[in-house]
Formats: sequence, structure tokens, C-alpha cells
Amino acid sequence: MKKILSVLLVLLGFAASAYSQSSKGANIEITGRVTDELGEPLIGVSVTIKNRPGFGSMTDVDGKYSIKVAKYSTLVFSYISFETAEVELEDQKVVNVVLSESKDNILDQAVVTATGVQKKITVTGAVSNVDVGSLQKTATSSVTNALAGNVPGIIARQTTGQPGDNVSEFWIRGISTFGAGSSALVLVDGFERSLNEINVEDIQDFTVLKDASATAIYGSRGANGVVLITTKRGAEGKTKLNAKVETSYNAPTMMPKFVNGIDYIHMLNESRTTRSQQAIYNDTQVRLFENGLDPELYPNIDWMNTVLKKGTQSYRANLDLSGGGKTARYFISASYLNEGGMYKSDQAVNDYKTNANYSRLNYRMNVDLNLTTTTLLSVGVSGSLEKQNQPGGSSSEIWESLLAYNSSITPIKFKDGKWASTVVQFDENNKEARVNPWVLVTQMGYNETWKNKIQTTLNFTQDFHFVTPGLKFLARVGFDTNSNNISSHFKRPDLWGYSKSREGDGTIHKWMAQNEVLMEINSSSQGERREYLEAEIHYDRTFNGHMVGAVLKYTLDKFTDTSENLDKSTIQSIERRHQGLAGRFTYGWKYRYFIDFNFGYNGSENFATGKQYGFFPAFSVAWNLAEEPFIKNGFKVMEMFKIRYSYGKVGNDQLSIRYPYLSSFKNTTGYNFGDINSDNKYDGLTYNNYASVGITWEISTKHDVGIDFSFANGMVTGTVDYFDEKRDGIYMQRSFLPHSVGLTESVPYANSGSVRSNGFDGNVAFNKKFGNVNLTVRGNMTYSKNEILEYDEAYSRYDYTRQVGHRVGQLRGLVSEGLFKDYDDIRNSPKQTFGEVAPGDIKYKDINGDGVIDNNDVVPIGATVKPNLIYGFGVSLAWKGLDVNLHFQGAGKSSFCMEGAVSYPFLNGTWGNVFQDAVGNYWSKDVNEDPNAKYPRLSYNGNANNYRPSTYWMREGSYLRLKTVEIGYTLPKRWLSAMHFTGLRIYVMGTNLLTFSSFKLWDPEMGSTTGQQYPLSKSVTVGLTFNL
Amino acid sequence: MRKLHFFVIALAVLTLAGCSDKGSDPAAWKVTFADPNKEVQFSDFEPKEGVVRTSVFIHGSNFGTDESKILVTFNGRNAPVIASDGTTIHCMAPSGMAEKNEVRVKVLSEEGEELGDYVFDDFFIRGAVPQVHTLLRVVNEETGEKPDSPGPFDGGGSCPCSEFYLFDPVLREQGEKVFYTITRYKGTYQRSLRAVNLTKREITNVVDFSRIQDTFQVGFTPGGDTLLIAAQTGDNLTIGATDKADMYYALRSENFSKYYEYNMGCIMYYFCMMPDGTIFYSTYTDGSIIRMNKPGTTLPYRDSDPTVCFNMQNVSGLSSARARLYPHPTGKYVYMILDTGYAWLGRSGCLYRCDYDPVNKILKSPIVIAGSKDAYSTRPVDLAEGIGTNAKFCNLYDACFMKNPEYVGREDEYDFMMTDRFGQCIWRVTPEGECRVYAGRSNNTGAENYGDYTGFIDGPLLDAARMEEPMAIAWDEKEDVLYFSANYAIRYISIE
Repeated sequence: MKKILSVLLVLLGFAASAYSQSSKGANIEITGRVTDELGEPLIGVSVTIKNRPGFGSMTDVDGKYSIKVAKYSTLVFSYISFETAEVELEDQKVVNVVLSESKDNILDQAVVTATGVQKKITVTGAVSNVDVGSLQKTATSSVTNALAGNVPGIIARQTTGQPGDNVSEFWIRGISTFGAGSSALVLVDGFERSLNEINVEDIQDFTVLKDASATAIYGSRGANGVVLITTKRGAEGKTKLNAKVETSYNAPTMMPKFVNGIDYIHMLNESRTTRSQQAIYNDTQVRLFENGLDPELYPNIDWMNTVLKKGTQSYRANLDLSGGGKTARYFISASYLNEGGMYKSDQAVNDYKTNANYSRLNYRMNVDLNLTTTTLLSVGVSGSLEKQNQPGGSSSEIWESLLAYNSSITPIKFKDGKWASTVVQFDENNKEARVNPWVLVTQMGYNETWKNKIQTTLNFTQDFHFVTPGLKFLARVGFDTNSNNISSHFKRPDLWGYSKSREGDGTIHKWMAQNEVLMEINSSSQGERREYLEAEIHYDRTFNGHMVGAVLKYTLDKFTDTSENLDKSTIQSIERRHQGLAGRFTYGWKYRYFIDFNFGYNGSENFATGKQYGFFPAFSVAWNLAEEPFIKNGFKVMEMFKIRYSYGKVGNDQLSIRYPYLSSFKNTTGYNFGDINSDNKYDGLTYNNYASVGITWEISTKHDVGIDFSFANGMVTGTVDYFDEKRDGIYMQRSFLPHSVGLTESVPYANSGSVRSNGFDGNVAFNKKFGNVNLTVRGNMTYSKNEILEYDEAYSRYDYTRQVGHRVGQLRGLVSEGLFKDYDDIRNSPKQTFGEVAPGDIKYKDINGDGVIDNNDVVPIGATVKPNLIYGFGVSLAWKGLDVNLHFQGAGKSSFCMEGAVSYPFLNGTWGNVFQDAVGNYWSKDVNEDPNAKYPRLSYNGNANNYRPSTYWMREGSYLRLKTVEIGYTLPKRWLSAMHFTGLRIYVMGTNLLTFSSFKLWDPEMGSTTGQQYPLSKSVTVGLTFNL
Repeated sequence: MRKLHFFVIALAVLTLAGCSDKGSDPAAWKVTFADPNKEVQFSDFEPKEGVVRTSVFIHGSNFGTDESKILVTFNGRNAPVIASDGTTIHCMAPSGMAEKNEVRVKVLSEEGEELGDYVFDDFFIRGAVPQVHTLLRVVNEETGEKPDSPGPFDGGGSCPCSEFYLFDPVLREQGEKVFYTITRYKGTYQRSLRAVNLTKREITNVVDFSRIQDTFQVGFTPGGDTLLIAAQTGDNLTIGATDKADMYYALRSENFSKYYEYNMGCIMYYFCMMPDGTIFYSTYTDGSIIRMNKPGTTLPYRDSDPTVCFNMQNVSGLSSARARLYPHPTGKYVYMILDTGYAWLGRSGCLYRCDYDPVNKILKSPIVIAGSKDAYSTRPVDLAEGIGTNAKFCNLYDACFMKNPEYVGREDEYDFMMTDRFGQCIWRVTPEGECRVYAGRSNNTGAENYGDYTGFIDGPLLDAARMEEPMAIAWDEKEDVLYFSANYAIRYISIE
């Protein structure tokens, strides 16, 4: 740590001294006026002296400037969205300049790829280049929440809204394996780093590499796609300051709505009487629920309102400074954010906070030093400090309790001050205490998680153009440490159960359900260390229209888990290491034809000697029609029309266990000597893991066909890709080995699974200026479908019960044919074997036609819980200073079966709740005998026939939401320059304001089957950005 | 740098726009008091009739919502006030109320000043429905402590675990209500005979059975002067062995404070004495039911050649089956419940009857009159009411005969009442063999802590009452009260 600090100080000093050298020897004053091509004055144009950073002037309201410079200097005039002009001074004292508007030339657009920045037109692989601005439009702490619907090729969903955990999981082109490791490789400034805590304002470029040719160079870990992020760096010129402050008000997108206490009681009684059982509550008790005249025994509490706030507040602030000179440039940023949780707090608890909360401080410093004219040293130091606070009850406990604790189950607290709780009898042998939500949220202490990350990057670039033009050497070293400290301050008051009846003297009989626990503090820590080394040789040259390029790259990375080692596990301390050699050869001719060949040759220590190295080749070709003479001459409107194809192999070595090729042993007590029924058991050793020596890389073979196009001066642009990939050798346990092998528990792993997935992704945009109005309409879509080809599973007479032939994570269940109409209907239908049925119970389809409904009639239904389709579309309008931005995002091909004590009414007796949705929508004798009612006949304490996955409970997880709506106003330059600002924008942004979905009980994006999850939020944000 | 201030100010303004987490405390009970400047009005109460613990609603206005400031009496007895919403008071009909009760309500101000005092013209009439009540229960719910000590009811006396109750017929005739119990605190081998005096409301220790390894039962000889004590001595398993005593006796003249050997024989579990003085007993050996032949004239008897009536192990097919014997008050037959010796594993879920042959003084072979002998592992959830062998018991424990006034004039005027320890209820078996749950297992599910059928709730037998592990049971004929042990308490069933 000390070393890092001292290196930092030295570097800062260097940057500062480079800065201060510049203001010597000014002796003449130059004045002038800067205008645009129409002669209008330009206000706030930066006028600097070349190679003398930090020293400069700015034009005033009339476009006039004055600056003192040495003779024979060069003046640089730069202004946003105008071409920069340079004027070499001789003797003149007045320099008037006309700046021309910069034009986006499709040929000049650049994309960051695996081997550096590349012109977009020359890219042959499937690459999504993301507009970083669109990623900033999220009111949460994580950039991952902006991926869905913004980035073609990414399938993402957010499953929780808990501050600090409210990040999205995402997959590039969906899931293509059922094995371990389906997540993409994320590289920040070239090294594997997390996407969650990066400060979105620091991102310069965000690129997603999707196909084999783009990712082969990462051979080992590219199978699931790669996300490349480069952070901002300083540019030569005057010091620039950007700042942003914003605050959001967040409220849940959708909250489950439950029946009121009185309806609940009546339905509870009906659940008993409709099945010929005695009602739970007699008339007097029902009356007491209704009139509230015994609020201890017969409460009616709205737990959601009791425990949750209506909304929460979050704040973000960001500040960055950049600038520098020819020899040194810097970018320094700091950002802070704070997200509040939605739990209420107990006024009496003042010593600590129980509400959920997340705050984070990010910092980054990127410094580039030109050591010589051909040598560049870039240093980056960044880090984050995160603090997450949570109530003593875990999030899953709280949300289970909050949803299942119905209004009539217990009071919060008895009048004698004892806290109320309940005990749930799940079945005969399974009784569990449940704490009431208020106690979970406010009375159980708190948990604090503290995360600390430091990332250091050192880049060294040596240009060898003096050896031969286009030759370059690059070395990169990275060192990251992460540490997490978890400190649980747990306490629990004594909790009391009670009889729902009063004793003769009016008192309530209570018993201690759970004993008091005084606050106890448990701390644990986790940590990791990553080290990287990369060396690259680049060669890039164009001879007469022949563009030739080559890259050779060596990588070495190490990962060490430095967590508190409570199991005394030796294996934990062993570094995970990879090394590899990768290369790329590119050839292009006149921007028309391109051929790429890539390879990765990678080693992983997770495999046995001889199986460690894998060779992953890929090639791609592209043809840009637009550069063909017949198009160029006859069809000028087409600037780019590139057809691409790529083919290649990439690998994966992520396995759920380490060193599968080694056996390990454990103690066992079960060796019996002697005859059956004799008890002569002895201790011994048995296999913990049986070695699979042949195990090696999972290999994904990918094909991709795509087109990139741009028409009419960038008015219509787009990219469309079709992909098809097959993952072979997926690791899985050989669970169906014959018993004669002698292995029962610790069956070995093998490269035996196979999955094929295909789909398409793409985006199109329309961009046009109508007078003063700039209009952009854009849309993108990602669709991916997979099918298991090989899976180690038991033989089945019915194909549909097997995994093979179906999607990974395919939903399965019975097929419902509505509810039984009457007893005749039951008699005339196949026999259902799950339990007694009555009219109003779910009737299932006999799939195999054997006259019996049983588990052999369970078939694949719907799709998967994780969506297979993600799309987004939006429109932006800009008029003078005003900008309006609308973005919709949707997901499709997702389905799930509702389940649990909230979805299934009275599953666990009085533990659980009933949705408002069920009122009037359930089958009720003589009241609502609709065979297509939304809920079946009520049943108390579960119902084996009704309460199981089937199409009856299946719901569509698809949704469309107004992800962002933003209105911003940039103040006119005229006003700003008076205040010495170069830019100031105020904006109001709404996220997730509207959600359209056929499923309305909870937010379908969460993918929850029970709804028992911290909800996602919609928010309104007000913010301000300004630049100096 | 000045512009940085702008940034800091903007940040501060936005931060301050937030709000704090604090709000009102939802866990606190809030009360309002009657307004002293307004009149407290009383309009009516309902219902006008009901049993003890009936919810009674008193209507009016300006009551306040603090129940501690409202006093309701039924004929002078304080009725517990549960809640008030200002216009309706909810109170409970108190135990010990008269048949016809004057209902009087007082409402106090916040300072305790009386704002209203009203007596209703209508009376509250006591209803007649049997209910479960609790006589004595001393359990510290916080620590789970259950003291087992003699003493007055109101001064710490408690007998938390009893498997056996026996009324003293002599004292009962004299007007004193006393029953004996053997302390047996869940498996601890420490036995004492305790007398529970319901009249004096106290528990006294009668004698410690320090010389007896274990005992489950005592019984009076006809006339009630002598108390016989069944004794287990562990190792005298041979039928006909006479080296150890299997029965002792104690004399009323000595206040039962000493005990002497009565019979030398094989290990005894339970016995019964027929009205003619014949003693039958069950043994551990092989479940045999033996007639004690009482040879000789001096005590102790040495029963070297007892008469084996039958063998319950053979009858039931269960190993270590032994019977608890309940002679019918008429002496015509004996009911038997089978104990397999492992309380937690279950007992035979069936009730046997054997006829008594008063001529040969022998018990005839038993027949199953209720339940099924195969169903000895019935789970509480599978318990079933029914006639004869259709009924399913869970874990029959103790039993007694109870006279049913409806049967007057019939051949058999008694119902057979049985506790079902893990069925968590009391059964009633009619002379015809109809088996119905008499009390317990209500739907009152506030007691989830006890599982699905147990709990500790007083009230109407089937509508409210719940019990945990009922064991001992005895009927007091004089007052028609059924006493039983459950929930570490002495509980009883009666019409108040």
C-alpha cells in the first residue's frame, strides 16, 4: 500500500511539473475573433498554445479573444463538435479563425477491440459498440442495470432491488451451457475486473465482443463473450472539469397487493368448510376480527405499510478533472453515491442504523507520460470503497416474512411489551419459528459489509517506427486487491407465541418461542488478489491500399483467494493461473475486403498435464460493398454495407471444483465387517472426489453472419447478426454410472454435455436533422434459443421427460385443462394420483394416454424463467438547448410457475397470505363455479393435486417498460460564459416509470416464482451537470 | 476554484432534500381517554346470555380506548375488559358469576376520576355448556421451569406431571375433595404419593416410595381403609417367583405414611380389584393377566402359583405388551388399554374388554371393542372417530368411567373416558362402542407452536379447547367434574 502511494505521489509530481513549465516567456499579445462558417461568433472556444497545456484563453460573447504568446508559437482553437484548427504564428497580431463543424465520417469511427482501437469499417467480428451516454441513464449504482435493451447481444435481468445488491446479471447472447460459468468475461482497461462497482462516468468506451473471431484472442475465457471497458484519460489542453450531482426518489415498481384482514378470515374459513372441515374461526371470533375489539388476539395489520417506507432517496455526485501537456496528461475523478433502503426504523434505536443502505466512493487517476517521443507510460490507479448496511434479519427472511405474514396472524407486540411471533408447521416433522417483519427489520441489530478495492494498471508502449513503420511493443502489468469485511451485529429480543384464546381472567397464554440473544458481533473477511502480465507486439501498415496487421500477445494471470480460511483448506491458497499466447493477423484491401485470423493458445492449471493447453483458432472475412466502384459511383447514398462471416472456437475452464484430475479422500464411518445385520462398523477413508484424468477444455464452436450498414450520411445505420454456436464437452457429473463401478456419492466429472444455441441480435438507428430539431430513433433486439444435445441422464420411456432436446432451464409441469366442473367430470376423467379431488380442483391432461395422471405427464411447458428475448427502442429529440429522450425496454420468451405460501392460498395453513387478485377469482361452491377461474377451490394446509407446477400456475414473464424518460436543458452559451462555465445542463429523468405486463402481482423482471424479493424501483431523478 | 463551491453547494442542497428514516412507532399501542367534558353514555350490552368467557359487547359512547380505565362487573365479579374503541367495550363473562348477573360498568378518566357508572336493567344469564378449565398450572414461560412441589395452590404448590389420579372415596363422603397422584416427572425415577386437596386448595406429600423401584398405580380396597400399591422390582420376571414384593399396602389409620409388603410375586404393572375383592394384575413378563391367589393367612402373601387368565402378548402380537385395567363400576367386566412400554413409540391403539366370571373369579379372554390392534403407530393426523374398530386412536394413556345422565335406566349407565396422550384429546366411548373426541383438538390454530393439534386453550370442549399430552384422568361423581392432567397442569371439564 505504501509503495503504491509513493509511486502515485511521484507521478502526480511529474504531472504537476509538466504543467507548470509552460507559462514562461510570453511576449506578444494576439487578439482575434472566432466564428462559424456562417459568420456567427462562437462563444467559449478554447484557445491554447500548442505544447503549453494549462495556459490559454477563451472567446467571449462576441467570439473575441486575446492571448499573450511567444513568437512562432502555434495557436490551437478547439470547440465541441467543431473541427480543431491550428494556426502557426509568424508576425501577425490579429488572428481571426473560422471553425467548421466536424463531420462524423463513417470511415473514421473507431471501435475498441481485443487488440486495441480499430476503425469500425475494418472490424470483421461481431462487436457491439455502446453509446456510453445511454449507460449513464440509470438511477441505480450499477452500470449493469442499463445493459438490457441498450446493448445488442446482451440478455440481462435485475433480480433484486436491495441497495448494494441491486445489480443485473447478464449473459452475452443468452445462456449456452448448463454447466458452471455462463457469465461473460469483463475487462476493464485490459484486466478482468467487476462491472458492478465501476463509476459509469469514468467509462470512455464500452464494447461487447460476441463472436469467436473477436474473442478467440482471449481463448481461455472467451466462450461466454467479452465486455471491454476503457476508462477516460486526459487529453492535451486546458484543464477541464466535469461535475454532476443528482438525486433520485425511488419507489417500488410493483408491490404485491394482499387481501384485507376481513376478506382473509372469510377465505380462511372457507378453505376449511369447502373441504368439509370445521371453520378455523367461529362467528364471535370473526366478529372480533371485523370490529377490531381484540387487537391482540385478532389483529388486522397491514405489514407492508408498517414496515416499509413509501419511497427512498438516493444521491450521486461526480467530479473529474483532466488535462495536461505534451509530456504528461492526467484524468482524475472521484464519485460518491448513496442509496437508501425502504425499511422503517425504530425510533428507540439510536445507536445504529437498521435500514438497508449502500454508499460508495470511487476514485480513479489515469496518467500518461511520454518518456520519450516514442515511449508512452500510462499509469492507472482506481479504487472503490463500499459500505452496505442491512437489518439484522436477512433480506430473504424479511421478504419471506413480509409477504407470508398475513394481517391476522399476530400483533406486532403484545400490550405487555412482549414481541409476538409465530411458529409454522410445514409438515409433521418440520416446525420452524417465523419472526414478525417489524422485529426482523428493526429489532435484530444490523449487518455491515465493507468492501475495499484497489486496481493498479501500468501500460508501457514503445513505438518502433524507427525500426520499421507500424511496429509497436506493448507491455501491461496489473495488480488488483479486493477485500470484503462483513460484520454482523446480531441480536434478537425474546419472542412469544400465544394461544388464540383468552384465559378465564382475560390474560393471553403466551410461551417463549425464541430466547433473547444479546447483541453479538461476528466478523469475517474475504479477499482476493489478481496479478496480470501482458506483452504484445503490434504491426500495422498500409501499402498501396493493402492493409496488413499482426498482433502477438502473451498473457499470464494469477488469482489468489485470500479470504479468512476457516475450513483450513489448503487448496484455497493455491493460485489459479492461466497463461496463453494469442495472435491476430489481418489483411484488408482498400476498405473493401478484409480477412482476419485469430488464435489463442491457452493453458489452465485446472487440468492434468497433457490436457492443460487448448488451441482456439478463429477466422473471419468481410466484404464492404460500399467501397466497390460500382456502388461508389452509382449508389452514393450507401457509405457502408459490410457483410461479415466468422467461425471459430473458444474455450472455458470454469468448473465447479478445482483439480478434477486429482482424487481426494474423506473420513467415513460406515465400513461394516461381518454378516448382514451384524453391527461391526469401522472408520475408514472414502473418495471425496474421484479423479477424472481426461477432463479438459469445454469448447464452443461459433458461427456468425452479420451485416453493418450506413446510408445517407449516417441517417440510417445498423448492424444485424445471426449466430449459431455449439458448446461441447460441458462438464457434468456422471450421475448415472452403473452401481457396479462402485462409486455412489463422489461420481467423477466428464466433458460430456453439449448445448447448441442460436439466435440473432442487432440494432438500427435513424438520425436526421429537421431544421433545428435533431431526431434519433433507435432500436435493438437480442434473441437466443438453446437446446441441450447431450446430457448425462437416465433413460426414460417418454422423450419429453428428458433434458435432451429441450432448453437449459426449461420449465416443466403438468398441462392443466381448467377446473373440474362436477363429480361427473371427475368420474369421466383420467385418475389423478396426487390426492383426492373435488369439483373446483385442477384437472390435468393425460399426456401419455395411460388413463392415469402422474409424474409421467409432466412435460416441458412455456419457456425458461430467464428471458430469451430482450429488446429496446427509443427516440431522442434535441432542439436548441432542450433534449428529450425516451427509451423503452422489454423482455420476452420468459415464463415461470407461481408457487409458495403466497401464490398458493393457505398452503401452510395460517402461514402465508392471499393476493387481492384472488378475491372473486377463485372457484367457490355456489358462488363462482367457473371451470376457468383463476384460482382453484380453496384448501387449507396445502393440496397435493392443485399446488404443483402446471400450466395453471404458469405466468408470462415478458414485459415492456418505459425504462428511461429524460428531459434536459443545456443553458445557452451566452449565459454560461458570463459565469465562466463551458456547459451546464439540468435534467429530470424517470426510470422504470411504466411497466406493461400481463403479470401484475410483482415485477416480472425479478424472475421470482414467489415474489418474496426486495422489489425493483422506479425513480425520478433531478440532476445537474456542468463543465469548466 | 470558486466554481467548486458551486458544486459543493449543489451537492449539499440535493442531499438535504432527503428525509430521515424516522416515523411514528407502529409497535406502540396507542390509547385515548374518555373526555371528562362529555358525558359517558351507555345504551345496551349483548349477548344477554352465555357461558363463562363469552365475549360481551357493551355499547355507548365516550368510553376511551384504554381498557385499564374501564371496569365491568357481573354481579360484583370483575369481568376482564379486553378492549374498547370508544363506543363499544369488549369484556368477558367472568368465571364464578351467578346464574343471573347484574352488569355494571364504570369508566374512569385519564387521572382515574370516575366519569360514568351505570347498571344495566337487563341481566346476563349464565349458560350451561361444559368447558375445559385449568385449575393449577405453574410454568415459567420464560425459562420453561415447572416446579414439582407440595404447598398451597396459591403458594407455589404444583404437580406438573401426573400419569394417574385417584379420588379418596372416604374423604369424599366426608365432603372433602382429595385425589392422589403419583409424581412422575417425564421419566425420572423419583416417586412420591401426593394428595391434591381441592377443598383446602393445597398439595401435600403423603409418602415417598423410596423402597419401590417404580410404581404406576395405587388403589383402594373396598371400604377405602387400605391403599394398595403396585410395585415394580425389575428382576423378578418369573411368574411364581416369590422372593420380592410386587404389591405393598398402606393404612388410612397411619395416614398412608408407611407402607408394607402385601404380596410376593412377579413384577406388577397395573392391578384392579373387583367389587368382590379379587385382584387381577398385569405383568411385564409376557403381558400375562394374573389373578392373585392370596395363599395363606399372613401378609405378605406368597403367590407361588398364581392363575394366569390370558397372555396379552399373544392376544395383541406386541412384545412387552402389558395392560392397564379398568374394572366397570358394576364389576361385570374390565376394560384394558395396552402399554407397549415405550411411551414415545406408541401404545396399542385399541381398547379391549374382558368379561368377569364372578363364579370362577376369572377374567375371560379379551375382545377388541374399539380401535384397531394394528394401528398402534397412528399419527395424530390420522386419528379418526367411529364406531368400534372403525375408530383410530393415537396413544391411549389413562381412562375412567363417567356416568352419563342420558343413560339412566339402561343396562350400562357409564361412558368410558380415555386420554389420548399424543392424539392430544380426551375420548368418550359409549357402551355401544361409539368413539368420539370429547374434548381437545379444536381448530384454534393460534397455537402453532404446539403443532397442529396441541395447545393450551380453555373453553368449549371441541370449539376452543386444546391440550398437550393429556395423561391422568379421574371423574368426581359428586360434582360431575372430570379432572385430567395436561400441559403440566391440573385441568378439568365441568359446567361452571
